[in-house]
Amino acid sequence: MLMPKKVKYRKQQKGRIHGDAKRGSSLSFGDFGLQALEPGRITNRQIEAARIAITRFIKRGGKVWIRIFPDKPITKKPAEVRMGKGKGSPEEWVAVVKPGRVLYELEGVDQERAMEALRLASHKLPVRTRALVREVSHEG
Amino acid sequence: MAIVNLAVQPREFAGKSAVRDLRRNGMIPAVVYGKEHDATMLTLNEREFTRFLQRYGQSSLVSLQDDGVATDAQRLVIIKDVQHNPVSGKVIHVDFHAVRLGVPIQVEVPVNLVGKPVGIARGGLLQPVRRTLEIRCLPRQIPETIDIDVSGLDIGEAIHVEELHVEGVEFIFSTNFTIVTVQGMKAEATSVGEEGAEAGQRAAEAGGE
Repeated sequence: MLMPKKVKYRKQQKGRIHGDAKRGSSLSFGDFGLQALEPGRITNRQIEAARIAITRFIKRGGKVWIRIFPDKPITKKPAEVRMGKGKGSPEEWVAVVKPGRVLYELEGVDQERAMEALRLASHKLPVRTRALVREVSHEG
Repeated sequence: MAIVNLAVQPREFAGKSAVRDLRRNGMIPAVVYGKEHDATMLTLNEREFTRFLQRYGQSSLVSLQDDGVATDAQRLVIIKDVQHNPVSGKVIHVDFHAVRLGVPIQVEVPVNLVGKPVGIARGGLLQPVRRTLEIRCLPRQIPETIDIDVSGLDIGEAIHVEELHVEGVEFIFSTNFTIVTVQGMKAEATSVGEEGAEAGQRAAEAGGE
């Protein structure tokens, strides 16, 4: 599962998500992509689940790029613990996603299969998404 | 290359408040600049410009028409940059670069891959590495696309920039980079995109407790 190898500080503040994606909002690698339409946090488990959904569907054909990385640690307090006594321990890693961000890219499969693979992946994610298709760059 | 006309109006007001008003009224803020002229602010009709982009693309030579009349030599331009809203995809700003017909200019042109590589039939995957190329040429000789025949490519073979020859066009590069290659397929090929990898690297480089 994706997570940083090591970090400078174990815990981060929560933060808020404002505005749209300023970069990473267009297709850079593949011919098809999955773009977030809502702000949200995507955990490394969700990223992995969506990746598996794509690769299982396209089987051996094609190549997949993951355009987000879960570099924000999320802490949680144990169950049945009273408030206070300090911040909880890091439990998961998330990628902070703004509307417009391209999450996955795909290449080497026909459009129909790519759309279905991305549809399956979108069901694993906590944000609304849409599929992107690159304007034709290959005639053959 | 033919010169295409595009209607524009001069614009007086700058700043986000003014340009938001423009966008609400179906207009797009734009700017034209060049070596021998000061930058001039313009507005475009959004519907007209969207139709223009669909029909002629971004690498055409444009004559800016102010009320139907090209005013001066500055109005012969290329489209330097088009900014889109990341969610709606609508055009939010356009940069025009004024050119002179006799002076070579440096532009980015999209690559168009033609043909089906031999390697694909043997289980390979066509992998475009560069989707645009930087070229220097006279404004009238800007090609719409750089067509590259990939039908002869087998698995493991690639086309590099030095192999390209287009009349009147000079390709700009310092190293002989790959444009397209045919890769052999692995069971499960997944890459973390550049930005994702960078973020991971940043966190890794930052050290740990």
